[in-house]
Amino acid sequence: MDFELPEHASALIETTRKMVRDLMPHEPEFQKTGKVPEAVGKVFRDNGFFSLAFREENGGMGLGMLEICCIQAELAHLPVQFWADVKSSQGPQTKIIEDFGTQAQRQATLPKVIAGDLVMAFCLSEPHCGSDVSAIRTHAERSGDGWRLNGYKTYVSNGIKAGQAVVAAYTDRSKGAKDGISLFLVPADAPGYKLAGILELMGHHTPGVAELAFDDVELPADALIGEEGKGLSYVMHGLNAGRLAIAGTSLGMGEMALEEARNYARERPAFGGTLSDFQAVQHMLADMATEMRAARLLMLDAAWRYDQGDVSRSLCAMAKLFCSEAAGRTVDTALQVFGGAGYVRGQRVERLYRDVRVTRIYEGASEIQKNTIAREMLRD
Amino acid sequence: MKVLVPVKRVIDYNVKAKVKADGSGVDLANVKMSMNPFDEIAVEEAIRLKEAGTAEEVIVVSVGVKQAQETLRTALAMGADRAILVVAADDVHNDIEPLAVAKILKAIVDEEQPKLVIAGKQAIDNDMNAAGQMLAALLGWGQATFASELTLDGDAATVTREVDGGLQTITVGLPAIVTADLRLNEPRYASLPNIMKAKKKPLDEKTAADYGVDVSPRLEVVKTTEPPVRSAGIMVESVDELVSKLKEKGVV
Repeated sequence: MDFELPEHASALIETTRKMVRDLMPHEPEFQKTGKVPEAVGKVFRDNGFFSLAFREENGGMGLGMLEICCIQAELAHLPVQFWADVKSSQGPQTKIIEDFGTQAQRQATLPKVIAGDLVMAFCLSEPHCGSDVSAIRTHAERSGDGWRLNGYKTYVSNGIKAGQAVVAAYTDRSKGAKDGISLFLVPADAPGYKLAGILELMGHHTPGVAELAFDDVELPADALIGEEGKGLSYVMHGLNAGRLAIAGTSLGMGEMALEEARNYARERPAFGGTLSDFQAVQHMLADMATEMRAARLLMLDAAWRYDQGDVSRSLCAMAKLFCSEAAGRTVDTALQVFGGAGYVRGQRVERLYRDVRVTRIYEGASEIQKNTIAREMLRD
Repeated sequence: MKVLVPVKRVIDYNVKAKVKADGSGVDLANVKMSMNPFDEIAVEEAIRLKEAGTAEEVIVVSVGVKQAQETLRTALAMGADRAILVVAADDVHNDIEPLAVAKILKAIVDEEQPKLVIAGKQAIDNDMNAAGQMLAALLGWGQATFASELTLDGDAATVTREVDGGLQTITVGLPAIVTADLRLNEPRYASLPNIMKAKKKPLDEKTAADYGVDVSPRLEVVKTTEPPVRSAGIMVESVDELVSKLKEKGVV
């Protein structure tokens, strides 16, 4: 058994690490202004970061989840806002277009996404429902040759600047969620598409997530993605990859916090020595390092198997559950190592503490992951 | 025109080097290794010549352990066309001396007939600053070391050199050897798509014996030590005391 990464994967990680290291000095300015410096987007555009997940015939790099998760873990050292657009290029909205969209839908979106010129939004959650997708109220009915869309969506990442949105809506409520929900490609400039509100967040706090309203949005027939009534299965199709990517995100945040805590413990003078002289602190570091190692291996295993065609809901859920929970504990402990200094705005661990919290919530909360793991265990 | 760029795999510049317990050198076991930063600048310069249409092909060469192929892949991902790996050591601690490197490079130059060799001015591991100059001597070519600017015009290269006390501009006839200093350019990243494409670029593997070069060491490393630890300073009460202390030390 060989635990080494393939050489090209190491090279991808290495070059990403180098770019992340060079972009890190932009963090203090960002912490002050809340604005992402121009240089950041340029580095990602120039170096192909928007093409990772797409197949080669569509102009992408065709990377597997192993590489994507590892790259994501490196990016996650930076403030979320720095790489939010990169992450959005790998989200369900683009993968659904690539896998189920028409040639025209692909051509209208993918080249622009890969060039870093188009951000797409994925609209699923509504004010009264998240994990319970069947409860959505957004609906589309036939109107002439096309469709008329009505509804309200919330927690839309990148919804503020999205140029196109993939929207889940009932097309036949009588068939239930499984056969009654369809997906539509909706341009942001369609009449009736409205940015209805912005929710500021605890972490990732600028620019926030969007609430989008669709009031009698008239769509042509070819706005329908794939087949009518298959929406839920398209959403579920990308679920495992999405969970693995969050494993990478949370892992990267935890590893960054661990590195910060280790460096700080070695430098911070205390009682004639440094913090790292004290066994209480040493044990914290040991626990953090062990948990992060376990998390990384769980992620690598699930991602590697996924790429071999062995897609296990259970392993993806375990990776997402453990990485996000362990990262939460690690960031919390790191802040404890910093003491008062870690509670100060502008400190990297303070930023990580706010940012990591949501990894236990989005792409299926920890409790949903546990449901999945248990269901798979008890099924037969 | 072909451009040849030798690159060396060295300890990463971000790593804090530790001396081996027996004092025989720097401990490189399980230490992160990267392309010598000056060589990255040399690769970048060669790629820019290609992008400008001045060079047709950029060949990168590395002499050392087998793992140097990772360094060559990085150069290929940056934009070099093909690579030659000369395996001359099986232990990373066995550094190949500049003269042996220069002899191997000479043999490769004889084969490939590049009109220009761009090398890093020195490797950051042992700071020998010799292989480029030795290669020029072995080939009987002109050399322009410590380049901060390079312009090619027909059969000549105009090079601005960073010398003690300022800048010197010289013209050398081609073929020639140029060694890159820090300010020659800012090297690009090996972009992610290019890393994948570099997997398919040709990389020839050779040995020192293929070129008939004896790489056994001629120098003896007597001792390697860590720099002395900085001792604590003293506090002075007044400017007068500061001045008198400095005079005592003979520094003013």
